[in-house]
Amino acid sequence: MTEPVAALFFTGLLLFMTGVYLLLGVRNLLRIVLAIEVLAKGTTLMLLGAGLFRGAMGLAQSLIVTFIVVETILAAVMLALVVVCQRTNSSLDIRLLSRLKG
Amino acid sequence: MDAYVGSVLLLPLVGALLTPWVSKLGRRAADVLAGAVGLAVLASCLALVPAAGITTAFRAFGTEFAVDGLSLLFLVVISVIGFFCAVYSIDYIGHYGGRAKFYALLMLLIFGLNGVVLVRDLFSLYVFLEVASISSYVLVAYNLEFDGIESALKYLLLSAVATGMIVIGLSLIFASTGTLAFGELKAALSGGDNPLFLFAAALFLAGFGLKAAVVPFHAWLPDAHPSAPAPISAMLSGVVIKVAGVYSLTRLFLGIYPAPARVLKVFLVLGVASMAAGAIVAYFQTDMKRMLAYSSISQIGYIMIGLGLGNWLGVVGALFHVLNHALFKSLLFLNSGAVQFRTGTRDIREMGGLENRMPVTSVTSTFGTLSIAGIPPFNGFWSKLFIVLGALAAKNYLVAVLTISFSVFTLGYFLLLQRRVFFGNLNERWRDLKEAPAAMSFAVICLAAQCLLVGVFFNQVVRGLIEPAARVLLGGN
Amino acid sequence: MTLLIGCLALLVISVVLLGVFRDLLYAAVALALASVILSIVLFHFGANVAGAFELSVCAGLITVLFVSTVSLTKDSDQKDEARLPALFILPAVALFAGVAYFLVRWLAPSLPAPTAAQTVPFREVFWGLRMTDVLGQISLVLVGVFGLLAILRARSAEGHHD
Repeated sequence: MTEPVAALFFTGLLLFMTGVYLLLGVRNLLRIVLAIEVLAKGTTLMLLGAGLFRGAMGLAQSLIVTFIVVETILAAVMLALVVVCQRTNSSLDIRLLSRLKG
Repeated sequence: MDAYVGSVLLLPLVGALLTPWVSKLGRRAADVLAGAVGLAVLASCLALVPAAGITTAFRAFGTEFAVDGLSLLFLVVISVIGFFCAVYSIDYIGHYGGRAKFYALLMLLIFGLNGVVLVRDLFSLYVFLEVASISSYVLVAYNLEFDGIESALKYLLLSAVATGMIVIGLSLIFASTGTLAFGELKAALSGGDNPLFLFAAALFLAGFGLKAAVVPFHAWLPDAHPSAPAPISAMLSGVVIKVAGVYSLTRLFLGIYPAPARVLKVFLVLGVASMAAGAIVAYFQTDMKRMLAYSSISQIGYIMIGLGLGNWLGVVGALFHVLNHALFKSLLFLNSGAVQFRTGTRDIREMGGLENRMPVTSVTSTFGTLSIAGIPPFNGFWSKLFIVLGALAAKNYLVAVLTISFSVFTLGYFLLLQRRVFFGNLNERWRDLKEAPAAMSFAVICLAAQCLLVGVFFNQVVRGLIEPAARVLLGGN
Repeated sequence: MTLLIGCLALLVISVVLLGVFRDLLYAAVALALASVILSIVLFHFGANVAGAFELSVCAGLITVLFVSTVSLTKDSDQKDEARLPALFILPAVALFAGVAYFLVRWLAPSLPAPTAAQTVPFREVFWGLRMTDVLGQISLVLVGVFGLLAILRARSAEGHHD
């Protein structure tokens, strides 16, 4: 595999795993949004790497742009939920979530 | 033909768009719109059924969608349950407020789900999956109470990881094969069993497995289902986990990947784990909807077992169970919603003898209970039978025995539920209880009738709808 | 290549900072920085449209939304005490780097030889081949609009709750 692609895949996977790690250890609901954004960045790098490898940058850009749109809508909905959560509970402590057992 | 596909696809979107204006026409206008759209979509779907074996394509403005046997089965599931949930909502969501927005989001959910089964490209599948998922996050949180919001956030964050894994798997597949279209992928992947395909497969399994609430990726479901409004719980359990999860897994692993034996084994193992864990935990629940939620995890296990067996009987059984579970589980959820609507509680310890006051709810729940436990002539019996026969055909006696045992166990805890909620002496608290409102009763009566009719006419349903779907996956008899 | 490695290293560093910063606003800045670096990487490979999008949407819009939310939720009784991630983030990142390295090494041989570049311009692909996705995105915007309106709606009379 060509070196830039390898570097992109490496960083992409690294960021994704870091994002999941951050997600697992948050205390504040707002940090969930940050963690999800981090793993989205990792995913974007993977898409870029794949597109670069195939030399299909037009397609890769389409996928990335669509992906960014999806992530943004998701972030907006998440943030709205956090705002309302704060309104009803006066707290953004994630330990509230573990009240609901899985 | 493609006019029908077009309407199935576009009507919900147009309906959602029109909701704000239509709701200005009158308090009930949005209800009528949602009901009309639901009915039109259902009718278009049913119009496609006679031609089940043929692939129909719909192309407009450069988009490409197609219906084959597999897509059609799931399309029918979506439109049937979607329509009845919309009708049920007419009476149910009054006290939530935001009626028009609810219908708009419900229609967008249906649009997203339809899109998932109609696309022929892996990335587009992801996009429409997100349309459906994000709509469902909002719908789960609809009561804007503590439990709704928290469940929605938990569902959301687990889903975000899942979809991230799906897109990463997708990137790797694209880097390797240069394509994302189903047809071309099938050809490209038949080549080999290399590490990259396996790693991507693992990512897809985890990602779509979470959407299907397969153990061990099920953690979001037991909270999301009880907190959501009843019609949304019905949609989630009956439709979303099937379409977002089971359809994607089936399309990917049985339709595109050359059904590698290792993957099927994983299906089987996870299926048994889900069936067992779901049933056992369900038994100990006191919250009606939570019990139903765990039961869904268990029933998805049956479906995974059927798929994992990989033979004709197993796959037909699994796909048939997709339809049947959608029917009886949404029926049960809608009824639990009716009970909650009237009594204000979901705790079965506070109930008792409700059949005296809510006869329709009670009888239809009995239908649902008998179906889920697999009692003939109801629909559940046949799909479970096929799965057991599939296990026997594959000489997997352990799985057959486990499946039968857990079916008996399911019958056990559901009868218990029925008894504690509906039978027995009427709890004094509920002396003045009324039956569920008309629209809600209408929806559940129709679903209960279908559970019976599909069971009685199982032969026609299997030949006409299920076998064409199975043929897409297994290529002929 | 060295430019790329430098950018990617900076990207990882800003993510680590994001995990370490106690103050949410500093963390938001770290995220914005990460987005900027990512868009530089995108521009470097000629993905101009994607780079512009990443810059304006992620570095811009999402940061704005996030900061607004932080200020809207200012009076939560949130004690941002030392969390596990912050303490162990460096060893965790090192571990993930090792895993990522082995994954790339393991998967690389499965990739076929790099093909000749078939540069179809973005506009053609987006509005042509991927029109299905465009329809999806339009509906996503609708989901976002209705979703936000639904979530942020004013609660009027109290009905009986579930």
